[in-house]
Amino acid sequence: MLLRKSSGIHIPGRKDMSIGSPIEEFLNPEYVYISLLTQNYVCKPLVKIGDKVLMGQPIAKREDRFSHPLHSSVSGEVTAIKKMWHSTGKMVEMIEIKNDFLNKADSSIRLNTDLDALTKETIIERIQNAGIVGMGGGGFPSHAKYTQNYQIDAIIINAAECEPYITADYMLIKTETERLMRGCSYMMKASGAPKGFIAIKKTKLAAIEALQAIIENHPRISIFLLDDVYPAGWEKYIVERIMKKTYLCIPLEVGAIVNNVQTAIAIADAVEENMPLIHKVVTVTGEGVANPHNFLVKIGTKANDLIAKCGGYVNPEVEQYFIAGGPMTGTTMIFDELIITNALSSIIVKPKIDISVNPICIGCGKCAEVCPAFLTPTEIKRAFEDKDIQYLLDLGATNCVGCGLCSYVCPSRIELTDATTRGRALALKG
Amino acid sequence: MPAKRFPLSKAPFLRLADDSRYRSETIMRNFTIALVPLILFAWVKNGLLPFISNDPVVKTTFIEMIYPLLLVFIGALTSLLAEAFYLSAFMGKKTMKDLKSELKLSFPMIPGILIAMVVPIYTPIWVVVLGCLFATLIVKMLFGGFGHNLFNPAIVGYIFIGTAFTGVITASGGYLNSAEAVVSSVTPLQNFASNPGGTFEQLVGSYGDLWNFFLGTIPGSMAETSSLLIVVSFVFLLVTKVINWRIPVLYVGSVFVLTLVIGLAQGHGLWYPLFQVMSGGLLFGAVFMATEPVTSPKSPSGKVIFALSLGIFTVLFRLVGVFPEGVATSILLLNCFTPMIDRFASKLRAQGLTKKTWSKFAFLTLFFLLLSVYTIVASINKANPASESAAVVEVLE
Repeated sequence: MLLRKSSGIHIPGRKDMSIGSPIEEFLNPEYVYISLLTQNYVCKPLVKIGDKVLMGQPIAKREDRFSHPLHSSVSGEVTAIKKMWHSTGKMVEMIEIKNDFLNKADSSIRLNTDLDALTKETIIERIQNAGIVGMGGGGFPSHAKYTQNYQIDAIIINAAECEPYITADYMLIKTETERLMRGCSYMMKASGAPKGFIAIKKTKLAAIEALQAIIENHPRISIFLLDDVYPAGWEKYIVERIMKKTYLCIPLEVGAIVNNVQTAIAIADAVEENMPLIHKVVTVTGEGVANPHNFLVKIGTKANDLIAKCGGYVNPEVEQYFIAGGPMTGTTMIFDELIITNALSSIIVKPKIDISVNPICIGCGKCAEVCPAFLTPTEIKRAFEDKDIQYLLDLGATNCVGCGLCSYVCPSRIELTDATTRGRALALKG
Repeated sequence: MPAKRFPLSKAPFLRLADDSRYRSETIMRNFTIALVPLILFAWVKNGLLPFISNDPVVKTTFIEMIYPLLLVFIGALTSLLAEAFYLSAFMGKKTMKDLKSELKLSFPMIPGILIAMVVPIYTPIWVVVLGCLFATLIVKMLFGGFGHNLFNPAIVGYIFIGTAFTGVITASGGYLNSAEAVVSSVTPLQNFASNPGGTFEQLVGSYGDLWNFFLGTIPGSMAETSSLLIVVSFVFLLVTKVINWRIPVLYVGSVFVLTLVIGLAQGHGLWYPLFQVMSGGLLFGAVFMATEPVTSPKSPSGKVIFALSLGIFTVLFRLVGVFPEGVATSILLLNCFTPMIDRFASKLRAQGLTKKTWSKFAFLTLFFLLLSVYTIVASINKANPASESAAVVEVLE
């Protein structure tokens, strides 16, 4: 009760479906759609319908304090600004660009020659101009982490990929190890951190092997092994273990910057060749997909194109969930015309499980037992149903990370995660 | 072709309960399975052994042999029928199908089985039936049915029988089966209640030694005498993840520690706390009654508070109060506080030990300490009225 160290529980990985297929390129969709919504902010478009755009040209801009541009991921013509399906499960304004299949790159994309004499400011500026955001799911603008007033002691690359099914980061580490290391070095330079850690689950042997093969070239970066539990990829879980202390809101408080594998690789590209964030590796998997694959795609690709590339659905007549994101935290979509945004790492198609009658709470307390944030979901659910905001705050509902473990362990299939995340929203609104 | 529609649902899309091994039904089924060895033991001890005995004084009839099993069966049946009646009469489950699916999820037989297991051996069937009706209809269903009851139905049913029909039970044979009625005259705890300062010979010696307590060949309620089998069932329940270790271990542990101190202060050895832990319904109550999920706290720290309070109150009731048992009463008492403990404990757990919350921790610790000290002092005084001041000094040292 007094000793508070978040643990997790082991969840079967089910990653073998897509682990055999190397990353396949799918870089020339007919249309791409660049979402104007980043995090909760709606960006302002910089182009009009009919404009010709180049690959890597800024076409929209986020204008709050985390300002950064968004880029076109193909060359072609802006044909519409319309609402499309976003991974939040809602329709969101997006810029539609018709691909001319010429892949004419913007003039700013070129190999930089000053890599030996980089300053902190140049790196941060290039990260900002490339529009790099956290690609693990948060979508937080990366450059903002380097401009705060904190003493940074360590850069942590989050390679845990603790959600079942997803294999994108694992495949990337195996093939792009060198770029990952370079990205980590740039991040250390930008933040002035003396140490770098790559936090990876100890069961991902092939990826660890690939990392170990070149770790000697980077004496300041080390591999940190995590247990095979969920949610080992939660920032707080990793920071608690590496830094041996915990924080309240953001890892910067204890001198750590945490970034996802794909973000680190994107930072390497941005620093070396001014390449904006227009590529993304996604896993398309699940029992309902014929041939699960990992794809390297342009941001803004339609998900149903990828499904078609995977050989379509296994049993189209059976009711299946179409999930944007991981199986623990994702969102079900009504239609498969989902647009791949920079924070989406997987698409999962999974048969629907229909158990209509469930008992009410038997009070076993398993949900509280597993909660990594030390919450009591049953009480939060009750407080949420009573709309008792003060009690929600007392219960720490704002600390909920929405990891899904409470619903996962519930023997009565009670929608606890839904209640706690909504309770959190209510408590934040006040 | 119109676009294919997909069903919507809520995350996570992986659930342990997708697998029937992790569902509530299986948990409750495993709970019932854990009771089977104890029921069989009760039958062997109270039914079979006297029946096959050659001693004509002890020898019983066939009906008396199957009486323990009959009691459990009647208890389960009564609870089931009572709940079915309530559901169809007052909760609008008219059709057989509705009723069946509702009963499948409300685990109606468990209170009846538990009551039949903790009553004295020759309790008349009509008394058990009344207890089960009271437990199911009033304690469980009037509060809103499974999941809403504030009190553990089996505990309240048991206390109801115990208080209302003590005379009837004693007149029909009470706690002793026919063999025990010949050999000894009272249960260990009744013996202890009349002689709280007794020695090893007086308290344990008249029932053989502590092994008999461990194996369960001592007089007592029907199914709660065998410590060994209760521990076996406890391990089974832990392995199948039906109950959490916190309540049973901390409950029994705190009783053990308190009685150890009380025993040492009176110059008794290790046998004293072992005697206290293994006699009466403490182990049975700790494993099967106090862990009843609906009426015990849900948050892990709440379970700790619940179990420690149970331990202290049990020792207080048993050693200082007038009742020989103390287990059922303390569980009933703590049931009242379960919602409060849950609120309190989940707040503490969420906020951690901070400047804001340390005073609550301190208050809680102080409360437990004071109550324990009072329990220890009072029970030593009761056991040994002459050396009142000496005992107090010894404890304080």
